[in-house]
Amino acid sequence: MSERRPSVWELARGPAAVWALLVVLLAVSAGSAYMPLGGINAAVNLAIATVMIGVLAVFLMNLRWASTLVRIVAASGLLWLVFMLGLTFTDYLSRP
Amino acid sequence: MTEITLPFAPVEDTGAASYLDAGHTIASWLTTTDHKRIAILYALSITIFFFIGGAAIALVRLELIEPNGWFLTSDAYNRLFTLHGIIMVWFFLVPSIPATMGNFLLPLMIGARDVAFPRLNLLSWYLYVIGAAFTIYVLVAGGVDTGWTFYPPFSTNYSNGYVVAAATGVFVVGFSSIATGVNFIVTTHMLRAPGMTWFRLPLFAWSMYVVSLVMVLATPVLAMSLLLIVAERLFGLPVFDAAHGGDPILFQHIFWFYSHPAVYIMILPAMGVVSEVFACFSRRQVFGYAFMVYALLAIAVIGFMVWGHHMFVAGQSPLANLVFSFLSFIVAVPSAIKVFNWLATMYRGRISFEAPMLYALGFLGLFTIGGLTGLFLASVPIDVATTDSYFVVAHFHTIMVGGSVSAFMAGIHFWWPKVTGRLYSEFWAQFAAITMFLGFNVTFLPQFVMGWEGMPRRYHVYPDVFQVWHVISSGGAAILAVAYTLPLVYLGLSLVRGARAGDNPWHATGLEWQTSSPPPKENFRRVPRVEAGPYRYDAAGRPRPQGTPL
Amino acid sequence: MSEVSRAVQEPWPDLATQREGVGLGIWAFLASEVLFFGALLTTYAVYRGFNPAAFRAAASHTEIFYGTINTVLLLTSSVTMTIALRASEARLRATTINALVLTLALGLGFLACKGLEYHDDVVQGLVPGAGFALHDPPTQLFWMLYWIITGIHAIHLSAGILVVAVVVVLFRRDVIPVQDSTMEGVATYWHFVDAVWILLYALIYLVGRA
Repeated sequence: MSERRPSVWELARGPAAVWALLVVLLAVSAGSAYMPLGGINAAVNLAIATVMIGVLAVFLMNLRWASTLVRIVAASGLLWLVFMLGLTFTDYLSRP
Repeated sequence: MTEITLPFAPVEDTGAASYLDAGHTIASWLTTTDHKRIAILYALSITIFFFIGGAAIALVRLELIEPNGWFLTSDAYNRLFTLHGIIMVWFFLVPSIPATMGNFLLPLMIGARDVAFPRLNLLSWYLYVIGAAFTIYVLVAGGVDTGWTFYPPFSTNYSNGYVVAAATGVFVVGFSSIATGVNFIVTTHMLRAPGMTWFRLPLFAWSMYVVSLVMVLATPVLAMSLLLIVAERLFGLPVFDAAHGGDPILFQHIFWFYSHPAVYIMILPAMGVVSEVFACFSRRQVFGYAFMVYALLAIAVIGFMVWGHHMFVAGQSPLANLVFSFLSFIVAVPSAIKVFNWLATMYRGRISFEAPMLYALGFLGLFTIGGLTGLFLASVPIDVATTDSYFVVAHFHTIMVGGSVSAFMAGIHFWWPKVTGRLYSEFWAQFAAITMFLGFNVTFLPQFVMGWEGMPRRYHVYPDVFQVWHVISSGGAAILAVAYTLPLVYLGLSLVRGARAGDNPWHATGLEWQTSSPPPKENFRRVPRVEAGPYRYDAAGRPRPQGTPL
Repeated sequence: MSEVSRAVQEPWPDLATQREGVGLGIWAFLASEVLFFGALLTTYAVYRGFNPAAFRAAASHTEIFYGTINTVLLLTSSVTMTIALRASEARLRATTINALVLTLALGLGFLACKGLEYHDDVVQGLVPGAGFALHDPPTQLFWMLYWIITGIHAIHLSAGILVVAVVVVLFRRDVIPVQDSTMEGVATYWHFVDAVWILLYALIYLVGRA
């Protein structure tokens, strides 16, 4: 095989950029937690956490290149979580 | 038996090349990664537990002959029915068809040489064994009395039984399920033989795939629910403790999120088995194959959305009751479609009544009755009246015993020649099947009646007016005991005295019948290329096999 | 090519299919893990929904310093793990092993930090039960969840650390080549444990700060 093997820096470049993005998001999330935004705090923190996990999943877990099947499997776990939360809260939100 | 001409000449049966001959030591069995041997390890394990769970309920049924208690204390009574439930659900029914027949047949049916992860398969059996060891410990140490449902605050704060050990055993065996599920999912996606497209898969293979989806998604939630019970009981953490704002109903939500799909884990494989049996013994293709597949998937998915019907009187909101009740009615529809399709499969078929068919017919009738009584229970007002009564007990036993166990027996008999290479005594098998059907009805029809009349479940002492029903039911249980013991005898004898089976003694379609009985270790001497769908029988009822070897 | 043939296991026809199969298997297992943690998240959501003030009060006692350091450690470990995976695909054996060892160190660092934090929590009386430091009973619900969720996460991380350690040994002794399907599964699992932590960070450390 005459393929040139990539150097360590070439391998690390992409992941390092992802790292920088994740750390920035982390700082924003933590910083915003100290601002008195009331109920919005939770929403902001969870939203940023979701984005961070999405970035992790797509760029580090390679969901970007994964087969449709793997993406369906990944989505199923989340969808079933929605079933569990959704139907459970059907009870709790409608309790007198 | 007429000779069926197959499109290829079978390799001569030397008898020395089957998977049973690849090592005769115990070590070779305990370290095997052959899915067929692992299936047999599971079969032996679950059979042992079936009889332990059966012994527990035999004592219960004996005790219930007397309305005011006989030879058991109330505490012992509670421990016996609890152990019966735990063992039968998790150590028999959940693994029964998937871990035995699924393990043995899935690779064969799809034309593969093994499952995707053979070592994970062996690990799944060891996880079963470890979970089973905890359960044996509980049994020997004195038992647990919470009911198989482990509800707090009784399980966490008040029970004097071995709750932690029991919960741990179930926790561990749950991971056996998950491992099997992951294995089957990957196997079905990735190891099908050339030409074996999804819609050429036999319905049993589909049922293994779909049940695996349920096992993977539901079982972890059970694991967490039990972990939380242990956390509260062992470490005093206020998980479901109302005094600190905790909610015992939350346990019920989490527990039943698993435990309702669990009943589909117990029935989907049964449906897969009877599809195979009906096709073969009607000598016809299964009617409405595509809808049979969609129905399996629909049952699996909708089955995750109905768990609240176990909680109608627990304190759930009326809105939640409405939603869960509605969805519970909906989930019956795909099951009904399957029942009609099985009937249509038999219509104008060339029906014969060998033992597998007798068991499958028993399944059909009893599953229908059990399912219809489920509709009664899906209705909130009826459920409010019948909850925690024998009506519920009779309902779920009709499906799990009348349904799943019948199908399990059908499958055992159908594939026995393939697995062992021996033929069993058809007379005794038919006798046992009929005995089982009669015994089942004598046991459980009285339970519907007394449940409707108000007899509560899990009661040791009961009003005299119900005694006649209890006595009849216990008599039926004795008949069932005979019916379950008979197969041990005639199947066991077949191993030493049975006639040797050919490749395809039932003249069925399906790739598993195109290899020797028993199969070689690598399943196929020549991996077949699949050229058609399953269940092709010509007008004379002769099978037209699915594949030709490459 | 004998290295490749060593890597292919029964009953897989070739290495590429095997890798794909392992990837699918790990993701299927992760789906089950999402539901395992999901049941805990449901518990958290229900209890926080009913006791928002108590949760804010209880969570303000968490050690955000330790929590944030731990998050950075895990994020970095995910990056080193990705480098290990890509190196293995490029058949760079030394880089793969080094990146894995770095990942291991970061994971152990997390556990050490967590241990220090747990010690602090215990000393401050934040274990539900007789000596619990906070007054309002529902604050015990938050701390019960804290111990259980972070404990389960730590167990998952420890399992990952163990697996990585074993894999490093197997690679160093050349028992399995780095380019076989092992890295696929290990990396995906590791990232999942990190992803769970990212969510936990928001649910445990950022509540009640304002």
